[in-house]
Order: sequence, then structure tokens, then C-alpha cells
Amino acid sequence: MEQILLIDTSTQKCSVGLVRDGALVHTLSHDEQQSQAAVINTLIEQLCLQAQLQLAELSAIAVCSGPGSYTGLRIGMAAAKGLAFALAKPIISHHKLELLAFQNINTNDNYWFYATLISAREGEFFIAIYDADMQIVHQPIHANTEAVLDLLHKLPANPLCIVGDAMAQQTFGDKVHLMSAIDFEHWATWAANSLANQDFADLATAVPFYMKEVFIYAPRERGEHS
Amino acid sequence: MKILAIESSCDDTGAAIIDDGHIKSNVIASQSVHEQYGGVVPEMASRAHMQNIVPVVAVALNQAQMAIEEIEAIAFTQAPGLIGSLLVGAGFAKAIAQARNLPLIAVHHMQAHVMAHFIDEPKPNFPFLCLTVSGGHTQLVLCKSHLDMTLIGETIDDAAGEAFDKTAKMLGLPYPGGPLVDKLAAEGNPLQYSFPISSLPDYQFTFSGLKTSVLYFLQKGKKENPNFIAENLKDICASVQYTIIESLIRKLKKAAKELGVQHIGIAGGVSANSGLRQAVKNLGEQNGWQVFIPDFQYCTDNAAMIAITAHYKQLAGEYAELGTIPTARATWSHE
Repeated sequence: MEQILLIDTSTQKCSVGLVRDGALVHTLSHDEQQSQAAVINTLIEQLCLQAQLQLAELSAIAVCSGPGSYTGLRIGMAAAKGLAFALAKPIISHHKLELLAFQNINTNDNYWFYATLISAREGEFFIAIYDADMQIVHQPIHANTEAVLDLLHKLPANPLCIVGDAMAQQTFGDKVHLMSAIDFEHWATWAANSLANQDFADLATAVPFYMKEVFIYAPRERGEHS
Repeated sequence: MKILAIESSCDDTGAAIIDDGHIKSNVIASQSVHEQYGGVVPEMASRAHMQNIVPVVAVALNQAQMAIEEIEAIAFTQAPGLIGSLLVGAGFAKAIAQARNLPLIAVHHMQAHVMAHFIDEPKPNFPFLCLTVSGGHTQLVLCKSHLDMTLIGETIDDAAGEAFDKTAKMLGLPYPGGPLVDKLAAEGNPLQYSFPISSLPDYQFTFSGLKTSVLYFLQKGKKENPNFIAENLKDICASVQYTIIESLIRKLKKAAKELGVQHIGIAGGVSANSGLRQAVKNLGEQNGWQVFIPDFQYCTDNAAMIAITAHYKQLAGEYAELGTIPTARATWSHE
């Protein structure tokens, strides 16, 4: 039996799930703000109890790597890496643009291209585009509104289905279908697919899907005014 | 008991293995990325910890010739520190403990600095008075036992290490400038220039006034002679270092005398400063006190000090729950 632990801390919630032979069998979620670090291990503990699972029986640990709050992403990734290291199990790292695209394909068929748009704050967005076979058409990028529009206009004139969060819909209109929460049922299928294909992240180098570089202002000289 | 300890409070990712109180390995990955910014950039530090944590722990196990399956408890730095950095080490440690069903030990970083004295022989007897001096802290800690520590005094503003680093910055020296100030000071005259030494009551320290004083002194000097710093660099370093050390030593001496402590020591990154080491040794000789200074690798941030603290906490049965969270600040009991 193949079993995968799912961990998502990319939103304010802390959510975990268990996949058995490709199907989601248990999920648990805690949505109190700023509690992810305190509850993640106890949620996993409860999941194990409910599913009568020993962590050592896991085949892999899958984590949603982002984008999202850096703190939240680090909590999920650190837990996933610790479990994978201690159990000598592979780690599967899925980013949200990919997971929402997979959901989109499974929910809205008959399109050629599937784009995911997630607000990156300050009028910017994360965007990635896939074809109906989940092959990447455009790698995830971090772009402003104009660049997103430019990218969408450059796509061949084929049916395109765009999903995104409320900010994406507000910015780009009704052509964006609202979809921002990860559906664990779909993720279970995609994680099982990754396990079957041995599409694993490197445990040592796996990091959250930050998408943004750290930007630092040069320190001002004393007496210098902005 | 074999304990794996993880330290990630600031910009060093550390892992150490201790076996029945004996350090078997002590690995540290320092982050050089901050040098160009003149100080630690918290977001960069957090990101680097995530990349370093697995290799550092793997090397620590390898050097100790142990497999993760042989580890019997997991320890981690719980506080104080940069929250993003602490979260990586704590999250990784808690997950290992959960995966292997091992007891978890949460360690106070500042307590661990003091406990660095109990890694190698000779070890101090109690009561023991420790002056912990680093880039972020200046504390006087009275230890009645391994785990019974009281913070009797600390800085009310800047830490001593900060005073060194900020002086270095004003002198145009690269980050981290503290060690460079020490090196230059060795060839300068410590009494060439006079800076104010704080006169706070009890065992409190202050270094912000010194920082301002040095700033005005340098501005005045440069006004009179544009090459003032370059021509007097060694004497300036020696004089500032003398002032910082004198501030520290006066309080250490006062506390040791008033509390009747015979065993004194220094800990923290600034205890690598040669001037401070010599001053504490002289203080001990003058008063017949025994002086303890940990090996250099245990002075700066490291996981061995977390491991030795965890060893004593485990002996006392002080374990943490999986729900324990790291915190940026942590209080000590004040006398």
C-alpha cells in the first residue's frame, strides 16, 4: 500500500491529509491565525491516530511549497524535511500554481491551455500556464499586471481557462474563474502521480517556492534624507 | 543518552551530537551572504537555514559515526533569536522527534551560552558567575546549578558586541568589524583617547552613549584632519575597546565581590576578543578567582552548547511538547 502525507501551510490554515493508493482517505485542518507552528505536529499525530498509521509506513511526504506567507511556507517545509530525513522517505514538493492548474484541468475540460494567477501583492501576480496534459507551457513567473496581460495575449488563439484568486479576478475580470484553495482530493491524485513517476524534490536543497528575491535597500548614510 | 541538538537562532546553522555529556560532533554552517549588507538580513538568514539544515545535521551524524536511528532525543534552540530562523530549526527538530517518537528538549539560547562552560574540563563549581557577551546580548548570569540560573544584570540598550561592530562601521571597517577592532587594538594605545564609562546602578550595562560619543569624536577629528581615522586607527580601536572592556569588567568584579563568587567566566561571541580574555584573566589573578573561558568553537553560536544544556535538562526530566513554538524573545528570572 502506498501512502503519502500531504502538508499545506501556504495559507493561514494548517492542513494535512493522507493519501492511500491514490485516494484521499483523511484530512485535518486548523485555521486559527498564527498557530501553524504550534499545531502542525499535533495535526499529523491526530491524522495518524484516525488513519491508524505509523509514520514509518509512509511512502513519501508531499508539501505545498508556495507561494504564500514565507513564515507559513517555512513551517510546512521544515516539518516535511524533518519527517523525510528521519524516516528516510522521499519528499514531493508541489507549488500552488501547479496544484490549481491540475484542479482546473480536472474541473474544466475542453480547453487547450490552463493558466493559474495568484496575487503577489502590490499589484503583482504569480502566473504559470499548462496544457491539458499538465505539460508546462510557461514557467511560473512573478509579473506585474501589464506583463501578465502581455503574456496572455501572446498565447496562441486557442481556448484558455484561467483560474485565480479574488485579486486576480478583480484585476483581470470575469475571464478569471475563482479558484484559490487547494482541493486535497485533486492533490491526492497529483501526489500519487508524482510518487509513481518518482518525481521527488532533493531533500537537502528543497526550499519553499518563494518566487520573489529578497530585496534590500542600501543603508542610508547618516544625515541623508529620502 | 545520545542527543541530536540543532541551533538556528541567528545566521549560523548548527548541529551537534552529545553522548552522555560528551560532545561527539559539532558542525556549523555560517552564512557569508550578510557581509555585503553590513549586518544579518533576517529573511536571507531564514532561507539559508532551510538550505543548510539537512546537510549540517547529516554531517554532524556522520562525524559522530551515528545513524539517526541511534539518536535517543532531539534538542533545539527555542528562544531567543530571529523568529524566521528559529522556526526552521525548531520545525525540523520537532518533525524528527515526531517521526522517530523521541523526547524533545527545548533550549534557551542564552542559558546554552553559559552552559558552554560545562562541555570541556576544567568546569566551574557553583556558584558560578558568567558574563555573556555577544552581538545581541550582554548579560551577567549567576548560576547556582546547571539549570538554576538567574539573570542579575544586562544591557539596557546596545549589546557590547554591537558597540564593537558599530564602532567598526563608523571607522569604515568591513562587517563583522568586532574581530578587526580587536586585531587593530592590539597595536594601539588604549589610553590615547578617553570615552565615557557607564555608571548605571547595580549590574546594568549601557553602550549607546559610547556609540554616540565615538561618533561625535570621529566627526570632530575628521573636521580637523580629513585623515584623522586612517592616521589614528589603531589608537582609536584600542581606546574604544578599552572602554567597552572596562565597562564589562567593572560590573563583573562588582558582582563577584558582592555575591562572594570565586568562579567567574565569560561566554558568547565577544569572549573571543583577546583584550576581554586578558582582562578577565587579570581580574581573576588580582582577586584569587578562578577564570573559565570556553574553547573558541563554543563561544560563538554553536549547537554543542545546545547539546550540553539538553543533556542536563534530560537528566532533570525537562522535556518539551510537540506543540512548543519558538519565540523571538524570552525572559529570564530577574533577581
